[in-house]
Amino acid sequence: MKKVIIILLVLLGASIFKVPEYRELNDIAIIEGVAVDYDGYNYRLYLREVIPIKGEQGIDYEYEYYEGVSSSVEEAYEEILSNTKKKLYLKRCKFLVTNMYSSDDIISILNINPKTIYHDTKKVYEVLKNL
Amino acid sequence: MFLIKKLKDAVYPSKDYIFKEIIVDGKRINLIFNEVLTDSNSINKFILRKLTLLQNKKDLKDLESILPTSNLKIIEEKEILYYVNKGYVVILTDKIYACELKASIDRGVNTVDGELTITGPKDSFTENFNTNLGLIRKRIKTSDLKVYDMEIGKRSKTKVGVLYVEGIAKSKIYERIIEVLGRIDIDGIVDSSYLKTTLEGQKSLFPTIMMSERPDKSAMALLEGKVAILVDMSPYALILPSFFIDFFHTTDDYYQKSFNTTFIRLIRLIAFFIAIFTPALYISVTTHNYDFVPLPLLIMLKAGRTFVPFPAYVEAIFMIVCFEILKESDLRMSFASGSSISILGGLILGDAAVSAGIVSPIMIIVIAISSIAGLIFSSVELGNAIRIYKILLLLLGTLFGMYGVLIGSIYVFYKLFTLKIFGIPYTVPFIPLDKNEIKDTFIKGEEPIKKRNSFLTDNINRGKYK
Repeated sequence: MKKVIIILLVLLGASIFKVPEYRELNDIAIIEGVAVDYDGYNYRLYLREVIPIKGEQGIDYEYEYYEGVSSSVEEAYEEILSNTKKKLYLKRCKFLVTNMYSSDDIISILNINPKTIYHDTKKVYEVLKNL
Repeated sequence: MFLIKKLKDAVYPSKDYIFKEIIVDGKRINLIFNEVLTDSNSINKFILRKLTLLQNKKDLKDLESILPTSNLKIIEEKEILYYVNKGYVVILTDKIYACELKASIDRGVNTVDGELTITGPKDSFTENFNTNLGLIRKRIKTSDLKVYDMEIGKRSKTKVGVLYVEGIAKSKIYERIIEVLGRIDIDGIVDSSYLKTTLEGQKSLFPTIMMSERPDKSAMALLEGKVAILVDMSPYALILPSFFIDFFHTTDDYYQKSFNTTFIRLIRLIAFFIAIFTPALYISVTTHNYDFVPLPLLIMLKAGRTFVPFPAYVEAIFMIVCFEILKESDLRMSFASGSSISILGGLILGDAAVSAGIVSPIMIIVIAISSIAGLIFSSVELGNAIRIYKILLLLLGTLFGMYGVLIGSIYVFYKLFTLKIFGIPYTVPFIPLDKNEIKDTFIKGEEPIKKRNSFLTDNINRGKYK
């Protein structure tokens, strides 16, 4: 009986303190691409989420785009976070598109490790959509 | 006459107790027996016919030489019903004789049901104690095979035999077993499983006593220095002490080449880990630790779960419960119905559940592979332990992710490493190391010289093949 009470207390404690970290796969947004457009005053941050759909022939992919604008990348990211219930999962981000000369700050702020970085002076959002 | 009346009162209202009276030369003889436990043909042939042919009542004094039966003994008055209940015919003259004429009410030696092997003997234990003992004696033809007979159960009077090979088994092990069994004070036992809880000692989910229906396995264990317990009316022998590694071995292993045995034993080890860890790991990587899986696999897992309305852990528990229901119904049904249930449950229901979006296909794969891996072991107790630890780890994985699985694994290994049976660690020959036995664990080496486990016996050398 004592053991059962201990186990129940552990489970109760865990449910109070730790379980909020539990996220179903359906509740996370797998971000595969990031685009940052800097116009001299504001940073416009775009995130591309890949949504796999089980189709007739296998898996089809749909994409959803998130947008945040602010004077800093952090704040733009915070804005996106405040507009979605999903947990943004950026660790597997495959590419970064930016018109900025250096992408190091973006990489460190968003804590991403993109395999490909595109530096483009055109509208970065369009580039992101076409990747 | 007073004695007969007393006996009739004692068995009233049962009608299967027969009281028969014969007069020989004016002298009354009473026969008492139970018609379902005795063989009526033998009674007619060996007792009634002989007694009715007697001319002189003086002959009754020499009944032992008249009756052509080997097992005739003189008993006391208070033992009459005891012997009647054992299938004896009790003859009351000036003395009281008990003559063994048991009916054959067992099913005979059948083929093995549970512990199937590809090669090797196919005979299995039955419910008859003597048959079971005979099946072992046929394999170990030495008087060193000792049988310590006991009777357990105040009402059931069940015959229990503790078997060991003198000169191999350690006396402190079988003496301890006999002592523990001697302390049992219960009204009745109907199967060998009843003794397990008494003999197991330290509480653990992992089994420390093996139940086997195979006489060859029991004989092997006896030659290794273990003790076997036979219980009348039970088709299973208890083999003890049994260690963790023993549940990964089958008799087939010794009838095949060693590299084949090694391969299949490693498969069993992998199956053990798959059975316990797969659901917990799946839940962890899909709800906490996404980094552990490659992106294409993560995307595929997500695609499978798109329309599933339940959380992954609810889905997993639901599937585990469904599988257990299917397994249980399959076990209790006849062979023909069992196949139908398997098809209905496994194929139709599984496919329908995925199509309806109640469960994801990957979850069916995870639970199915885990459950099937658990079925690789013939020991029901080990299967039960795997089931409990699987659910425990699943809950910990749900709550804490990989950390939970790690904590749960530490707990499982702690329980495994601290378990002892008759003072011997459960994890021998690994911890502590036994050099003699290590060549016959998960990896089986070719050994021309056979040795025994030094924790089980002081007589290490078995001999050599070449």
